[in-house]
Amino acid sequence: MDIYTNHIQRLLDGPAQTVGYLGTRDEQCQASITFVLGFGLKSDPLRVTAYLPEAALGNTARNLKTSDYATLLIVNAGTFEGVQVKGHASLGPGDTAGESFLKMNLKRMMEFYDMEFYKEVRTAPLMAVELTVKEIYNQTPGDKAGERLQLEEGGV
Amino acid sequence: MITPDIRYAMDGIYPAAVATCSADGIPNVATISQVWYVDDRHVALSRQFFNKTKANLENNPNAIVRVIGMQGRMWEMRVRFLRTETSGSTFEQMALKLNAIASYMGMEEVFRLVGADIYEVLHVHECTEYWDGVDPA
Repeated sequence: MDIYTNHIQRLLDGPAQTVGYLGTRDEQCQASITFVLGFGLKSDPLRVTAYLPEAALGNTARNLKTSDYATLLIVNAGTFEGVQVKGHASLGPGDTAGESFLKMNLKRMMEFYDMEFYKEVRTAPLMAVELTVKEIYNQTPGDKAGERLQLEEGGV
Repeated sequence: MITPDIRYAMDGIYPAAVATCSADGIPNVATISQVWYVDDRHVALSRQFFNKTKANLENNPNAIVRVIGMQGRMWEMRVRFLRTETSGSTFEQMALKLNAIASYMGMEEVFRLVGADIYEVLHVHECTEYWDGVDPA
């Protein structure tokens, strides 16, 4: 079971910065995207958390009331390696661990891209969207892109 | 509708993304190598792998595209899928650019343009939620 989360951790530790896109949908099945800069892995390998400022939630809160089945694409901006996880999502307040994850990722972004501008990124009030992972897909470019992976052996 | 700033972001260093929704209400997000300016109201997305995106668009042509520029400025485009082109000027130009991207990334064996998906742009707005009040220039 830990191979799948190890892969996400490898994305987070990889070169460049890891970004994410949280996808939800409304009652007309119109998809929405929310940009994510903070990720958290907990001891339960089937739970992945996206951390983002409340202002960045967009339609997410409303959409999750319509359908709590969401998707989170996590991709390393330097290598394009990525995975997409899907599952039931819940929205709640962020925590200090989430704030640390987000600030760590922003620091890496500033170092890699030499973008002082990112010092100004809003991080509070922090919210957390936690996915209970039901599906995982390979999103790394190549012949296996889009391939569904087994949660128990999700290495890519 | 598509301003020079947005076109600049379409060439951004971050992977852009497209979100679609299946007939049974499951959202899907995929990264895009290229968001190509066709004209003021149309863009083309490079179709390389996109199996789930393609399947979703057959039932629901509405999608959302997010692009991120060099300075972190983001735009969201609400789009409607029209057709896939596999020849012609747009396809050929996108194929050339994709080859350049692939060469730069050392992924010549992986990146291959299958088609240029043409979308009508219905609405565009800048996403300032992370940087509201901050001048990114």
